[in-house]
Amino acid sequence: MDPVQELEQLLSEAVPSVEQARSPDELERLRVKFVGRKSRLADIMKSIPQLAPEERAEVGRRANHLKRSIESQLAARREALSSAAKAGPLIDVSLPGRAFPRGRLHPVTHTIDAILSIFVPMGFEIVEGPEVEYEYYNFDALNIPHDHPSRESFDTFFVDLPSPEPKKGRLLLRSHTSPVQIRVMERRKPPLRLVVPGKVYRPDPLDPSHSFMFHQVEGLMVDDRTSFADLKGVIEHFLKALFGAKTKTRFRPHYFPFTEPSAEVDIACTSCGGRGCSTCGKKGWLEIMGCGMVHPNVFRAVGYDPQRVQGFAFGMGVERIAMLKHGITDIRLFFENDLRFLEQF
Amino acid sequence: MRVPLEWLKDYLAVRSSPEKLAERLTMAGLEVVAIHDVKGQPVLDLEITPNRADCLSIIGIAREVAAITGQRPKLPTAVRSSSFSVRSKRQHRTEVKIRIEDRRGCQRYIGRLIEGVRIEPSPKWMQRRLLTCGARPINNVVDITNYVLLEHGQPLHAFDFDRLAQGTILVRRAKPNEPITTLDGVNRLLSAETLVIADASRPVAVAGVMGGLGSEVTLTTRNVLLESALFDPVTVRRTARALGMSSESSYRFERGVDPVGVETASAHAASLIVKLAGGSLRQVLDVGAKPPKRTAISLEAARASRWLGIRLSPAEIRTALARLSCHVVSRGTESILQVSVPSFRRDLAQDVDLYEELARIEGYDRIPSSLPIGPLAGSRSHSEDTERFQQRQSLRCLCAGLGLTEAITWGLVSEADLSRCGYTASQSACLANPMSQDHAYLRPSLLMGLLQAVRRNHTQGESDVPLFEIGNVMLLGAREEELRLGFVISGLWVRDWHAKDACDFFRLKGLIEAITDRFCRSAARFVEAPHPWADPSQSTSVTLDGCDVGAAGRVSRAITDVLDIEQDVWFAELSANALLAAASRSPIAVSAPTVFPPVKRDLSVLLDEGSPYESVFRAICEIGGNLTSRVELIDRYAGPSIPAGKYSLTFAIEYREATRTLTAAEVDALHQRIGQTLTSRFNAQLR
Repeated sequence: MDPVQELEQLLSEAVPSVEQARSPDELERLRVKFVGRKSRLADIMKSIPQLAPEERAEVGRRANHLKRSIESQLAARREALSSAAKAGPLIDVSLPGRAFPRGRLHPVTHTIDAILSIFVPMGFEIVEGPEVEYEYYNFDALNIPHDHPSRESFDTFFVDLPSPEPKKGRLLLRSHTSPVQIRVMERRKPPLRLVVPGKVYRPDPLDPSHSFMFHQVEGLMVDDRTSFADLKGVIEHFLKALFGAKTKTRFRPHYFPFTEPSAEVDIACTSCGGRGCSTCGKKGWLEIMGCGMVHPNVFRAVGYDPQRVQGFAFGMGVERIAMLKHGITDIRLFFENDLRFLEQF
Repeated sequence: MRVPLEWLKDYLAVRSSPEKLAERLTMAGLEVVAIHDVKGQPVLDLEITPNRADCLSIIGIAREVAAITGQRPKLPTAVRSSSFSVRSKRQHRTEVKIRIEDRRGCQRYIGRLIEGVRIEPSPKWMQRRLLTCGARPINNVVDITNYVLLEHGQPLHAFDFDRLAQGTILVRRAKPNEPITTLDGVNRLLSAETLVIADASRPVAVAGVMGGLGSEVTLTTRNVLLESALFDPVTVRRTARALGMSSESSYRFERGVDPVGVETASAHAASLIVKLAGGSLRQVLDVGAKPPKRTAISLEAARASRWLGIRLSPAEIRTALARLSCHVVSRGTESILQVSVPSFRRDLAQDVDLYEELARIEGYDRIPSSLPIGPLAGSRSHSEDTERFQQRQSLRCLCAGLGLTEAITWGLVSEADLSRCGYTASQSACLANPMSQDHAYLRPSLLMGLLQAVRRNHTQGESDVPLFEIGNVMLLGAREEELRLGFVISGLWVRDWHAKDACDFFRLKGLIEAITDRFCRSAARFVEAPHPWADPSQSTSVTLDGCDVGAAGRVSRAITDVLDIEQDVWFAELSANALLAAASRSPIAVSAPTVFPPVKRDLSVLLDEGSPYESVFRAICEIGGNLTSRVELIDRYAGPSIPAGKYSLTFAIEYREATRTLTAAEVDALHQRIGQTLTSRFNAQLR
């Protein structure tokens, strides 16, 4: 037989037998048979000098190649058999992974983070203030005088403690985060860009859409040029970043004592896209926040010159935004702390 | 405020559909909250903001619609002219005497005496309009006062003149505890603050709020005194609040009525009475101050443009304001305009009020959006607040990462919550006007809320509760509220097919250690200390760098029993500010890990039950000094194979020197010395 053909045949015999070998002993027998000193391969190699000169190189190359490949295959199989021998029994990888405790952040925390992370890159600083506040900061300095009907929209819990600074009026639980604007403006000069997250309280009986405690994020931007057009631009950018680039917004004239002009901002209903549904009360729009140009009386209260300073303020309810984003229909869920609710965030 | 479109059409043409009109009003700041259908007639339901008292009338809305749509409203003739008022100089049997004693409470009082009226039901058309707007028809004279109130926004009142003692009207403050029975049938005792309308002997009306029963117009009334007055908003508001009553009249006075409208409404109502109830106008008395001149406001076009972010020329401003019945009195193209404001727009007091009108009448949607180019606050110190806030969010993330779920509990708690947890009501700040006793006190601790959360989950069938909260508490004596981190664990910490790990004190302690270690890079220490809420056997204070930062322990079963929580609950509360302060201290110095190998030895000792682990641990570290690179407790055992009153501890000790390889001999010597020290100090037996 032609030695080249014979080598081919040896290879095709060796490969499957090594692959199917089940023990080191069997592998040893195969080694002796295919590459041992008395194997057919050894015979062929011994016969090379007798071949015609033009055949010698070719047969030699092929014989060496065959020897190396069988030997490496034997080694691989030997390795495989030995590690299989060391391994334990097969495991059921479909079993659940080992449990970890299920820690989650509250949806209010997530929402506040989402809101702030849009304003911080625009140069807004995060500032906070006390929840127990003076009447002066909560009302008077914000152009909400005593005995004025505009106070009616801000029913308040008063705290039964003597006021440490009677000039600033009684102590109360702040009904909005706006007092922090005043506290900062009293302390610092413009330019200012602030966002103020925090807890607020209003004596509203609990129902699916009211809670006596909730969270707000307030904003203030004051310098020598910021205009109502800038307010629109910033708020539109914010709402697109929060609700998606296609979010439609509209600014509706409204009244807040501390801004002039004042606006309420609506977004096209997130569940019907503006056609009108139960979420938006068939209006197609959802009220999302209030805003406006800071009233000169507020600047006067903090000692700014209203002829030189201008800018805007805005405020929004955190729970309301979380409810819209996640389709939550009952605000009380935020404060019941039921793990089945909390663990969805 | 309900506005029937058919009534509105008395004053102007309404060409658009109710929906379209509603949309335009809404976008002009008069929000239409609903469009009702009343017997086939569309009625707009408007929410009027407190500044727009002028829109609390059909005529007011007509003026506004006219301004938006660029029309001229046809106002009733009586509104345009006050020529109807006639002054009777004749002395007459039924002469009215009017005196304002309190000029602060009442600026102007117009009385019109109409004689010989016939009281009967008002015409159907009037009744229909009243009903549509939510007023109950009573009789022609009373209905006319209500009708004119709705039409003009000026509250009116009709007295039965013959029931006024000596035909006298006196506007004065009430005497303390002076009685009156108001039209709603309630007997009231007035305070000296209350402004009243009195006759010669007694109050006959609470000024601006409600009339008295004793002088009301009835079927037998023949002569009517029609009141139209300008009462002080603050006085009316205080009175209405003090008496706990609100009426269509007080609602409008509180917000401020048109000083000119006092006369026009009175004249119009009188003419309607004469027309619909017969009788004749006998006398008109107009007492008090005449309406002030129109207010003038300076408006600088350039500043308006800068404020709004659009270019507005003086001509454009003039045109826009004219639609709102504001007259620009200055000439030509002067850049500072003098604007004269109509008497009914009491909300327009300074230039920015006009800016809003300009933006509103143009439409906010006409103002372009731009992104600000204003300067930024530069100073580094200003961003400290931002950093502090973001650090707190990291603390939240750490707690969640450790396996605790974030809760937000009520900041207001009940007296029962307080006393249960060992606080007395007198130690806590309470609300002056709580909504309910369940939420009457400012929480002095996060414990109450977190326990309620555990209870909530228990009743819902979830017994494994790991919760944390970061929030403010209020302590009496402390000047400010304090930020705390609290957590509760109960039930199983983890549970799977492989293992069940129940919560205990050491899980709680481990959490605190993990937080202080990772967040503050500082080790917390625990010292036995009693807390009113904690079981004395598991009650500790937590210190960090020598400062007391909080408490940890098992909630006493007396508390959990009351809350029907039928398993143990562990609670810890730390000062979040202390953690944040520790976290922001200067950066730690780090050393590179040594390459020299460790020598590991185990040490097992038998100890008396009284010797605490920590002192043994400290002794090992003390003797081992720098050479013990790690001392780890790997087992604690007490049980049958050990003598009673003893327990065993096994430590794995790792010896290592940073600069060289330790020899076996020196490690053995040190290890032995440690063993001897434990023997002599703690009466320990080496095992």
